[in-house]
Amino acid sequence: MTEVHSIKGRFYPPQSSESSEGTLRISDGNLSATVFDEGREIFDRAEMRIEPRIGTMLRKIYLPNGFVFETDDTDAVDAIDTKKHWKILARLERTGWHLIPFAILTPVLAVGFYRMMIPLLISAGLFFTPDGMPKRIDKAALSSLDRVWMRPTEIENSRQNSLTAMFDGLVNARPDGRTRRVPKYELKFRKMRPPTPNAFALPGGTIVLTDSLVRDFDNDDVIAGILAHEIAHVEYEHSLRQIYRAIGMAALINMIAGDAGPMLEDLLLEGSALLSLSFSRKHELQADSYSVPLMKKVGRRPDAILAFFEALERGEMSLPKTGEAAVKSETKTAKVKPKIKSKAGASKDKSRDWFSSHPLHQARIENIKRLTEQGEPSLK
Amino acid sequence: MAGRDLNVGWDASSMDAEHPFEFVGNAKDYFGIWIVNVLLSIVTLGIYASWAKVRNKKYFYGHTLVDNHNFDYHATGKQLFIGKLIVVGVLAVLVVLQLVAPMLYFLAVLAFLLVLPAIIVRALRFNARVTSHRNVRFNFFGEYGDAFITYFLIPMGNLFTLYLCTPFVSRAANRFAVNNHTYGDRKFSFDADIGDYYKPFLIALVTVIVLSIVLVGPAIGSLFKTLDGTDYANNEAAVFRFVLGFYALLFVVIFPAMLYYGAVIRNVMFNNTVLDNQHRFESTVNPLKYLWIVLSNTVASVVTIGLLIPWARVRLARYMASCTSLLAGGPLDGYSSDVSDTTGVVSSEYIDLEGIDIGIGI
Repeated sequence: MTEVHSIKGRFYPPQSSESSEGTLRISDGNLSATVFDEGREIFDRAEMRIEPRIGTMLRKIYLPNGFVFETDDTDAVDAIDTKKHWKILARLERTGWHLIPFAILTPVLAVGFYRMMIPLLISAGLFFTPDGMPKRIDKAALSSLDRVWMRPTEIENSRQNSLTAMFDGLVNARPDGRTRRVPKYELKFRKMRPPTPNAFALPGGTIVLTDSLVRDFDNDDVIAGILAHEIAHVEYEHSLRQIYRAIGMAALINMIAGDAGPMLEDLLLEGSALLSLSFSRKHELQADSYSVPLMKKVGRRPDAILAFFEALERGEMSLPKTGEAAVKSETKTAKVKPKIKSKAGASKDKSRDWFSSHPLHQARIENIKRLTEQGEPSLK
Repeated sequence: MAGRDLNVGWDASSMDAEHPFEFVGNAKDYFGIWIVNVLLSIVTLGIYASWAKVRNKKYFYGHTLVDNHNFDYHATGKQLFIGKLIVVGVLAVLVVLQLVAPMLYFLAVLAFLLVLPAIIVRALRFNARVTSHRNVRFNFFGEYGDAFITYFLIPMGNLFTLYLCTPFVSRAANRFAVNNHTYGDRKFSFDADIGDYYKPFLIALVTVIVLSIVLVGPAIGSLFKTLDGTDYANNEAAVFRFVLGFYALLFVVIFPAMLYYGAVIRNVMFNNTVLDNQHRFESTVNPLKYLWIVLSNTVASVVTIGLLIPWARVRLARYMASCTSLLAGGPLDGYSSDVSDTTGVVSSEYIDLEGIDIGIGI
């Protein structure tokens, strides 16, 4: 046989660490030969399995007799390797000018993935969500909340009835056709423990009002504003969006920094939690914007909810609730004890915005005022 | 041969000799592999990530030499991809269960806790079996019962002692991991004094406590002062300071303390490990230098939006290898593999996805 390539290296017998030096000879026909320890064996070269090239790593060739041949002459191995795709890959990986566009393209694509794939993933998730699922989530979430945080309401029946009638009015007045799934709206009253003025919407259309909220705000327009805001969360499917977004982000981080090394991954995960807060702030603004025309339509003051924000301004700021953000979107916890004239409003700075799941109230207040003044405000 | 001297066969140099580990990769070569990995992973919407992982592992294993022979990683991208699909599928079912049937989910989590030790055993076995040195595979023979004690009972006990028994958890994990590994058909063995673990643990703990008091004590103080119920306007600022302080504490104090502890424990593990009753190991990681490398790596990676990740990983691998030696007490080439099948890829992918620490150290 005519010898074309001869590669020097070492041979390992099957399963053994006892190597010996030798030569692998490749003919231009179908045959190859190995020579080591004065032994010689001839076999069909199609039965060799050649390991793909990785950097300058010693190259392994698995021989049909169970022997393993190992060499540092990786270029010579390339010459006998017939598997095209691995060669293309190795050529892409090799140091060269082409890596510069790669280095620019990668962050661009990563950002593109974040900007385009995440919304796409959310839409796909929403599309494939079975119609009955949001309502089942409601039931499950409500029963866990009832067990842990909430007690039966102590609001008088007549008040409950009038608020429910108001709620139904809002639900019926809402423009339809926002979602493929038509939510089944239900208003629930619960006493929170410890008592906190709060309202939140579950994805299937269940909206919960706490006793403290009902008692703290005698003005029906304020409560209607809050309910309209919660209806918007359901209409836009904000909770489901936040769930699918969290899944997409986890996948993205795993892909880019799968094992980036100690510390870096922790940093990325914390960063994504912060980003998800900004995502939920966007939803709050969107819900406010939805509530204004709905309030006008039922003939209530769209800016009545501002009284609620003013109460918030005087009240406490709550910690970001990253863990719960996925399941419920709460309107806000507010202690309404107008004791102190706030100077917090003046000292607000932008950076603090990042830690809040709700936009700083100023931005929301301005948004509602602007929308209220548009068109002819229908005042009661 | 292109320059490298291949140390062949049975020779006097492998008797009673110190063989330093050596990492011969470099950032320049690895950069190309890494950037192509990330690029293709994104372009293929994550599918290539499994093959990328193999190339990554192969690069680092293949460029780590002992006695002039490298390590190798033999899992295939297809294996890992199938494992990952199954893991993601199961996790997706769990997420849905959590949303629509919390009680069932609760039961599933309980069942899962009982299955976890089995998953860890299978993951360790898979990873051992796909790793080789000198054509000889590693293997793992740990069993469910020991894993349950190591990863479930002892950590539970630690929970009830306010984490003060962490050194016992670490030692148990090291014992379980090392004593059940084999290289070919020969066993690794390990044991160490608990004092070796308590020393770095107490140093780390005291540092965390002192620095916490100095750094965030004032923030916590003002938080409690304002939380007594009246001063709501100031609350907001206090809570904000508290959140900032918490993050600062996490990244400036708690993570570094954990890294410090991990580095010392790694030394303890290697220094007390014997292979085949004759080969010893030596690890001389300087925890502060390790800390410096990890911290500066993190900063460099963040500042360059990730482009220095390859450099950082190579730098760390080189340092870790340079701190590790094999003290051979006899010939290194008289070993043979007894492994042929490699099952457990699903468990391995799960462990990888969740980033569970199974005690092999760094």
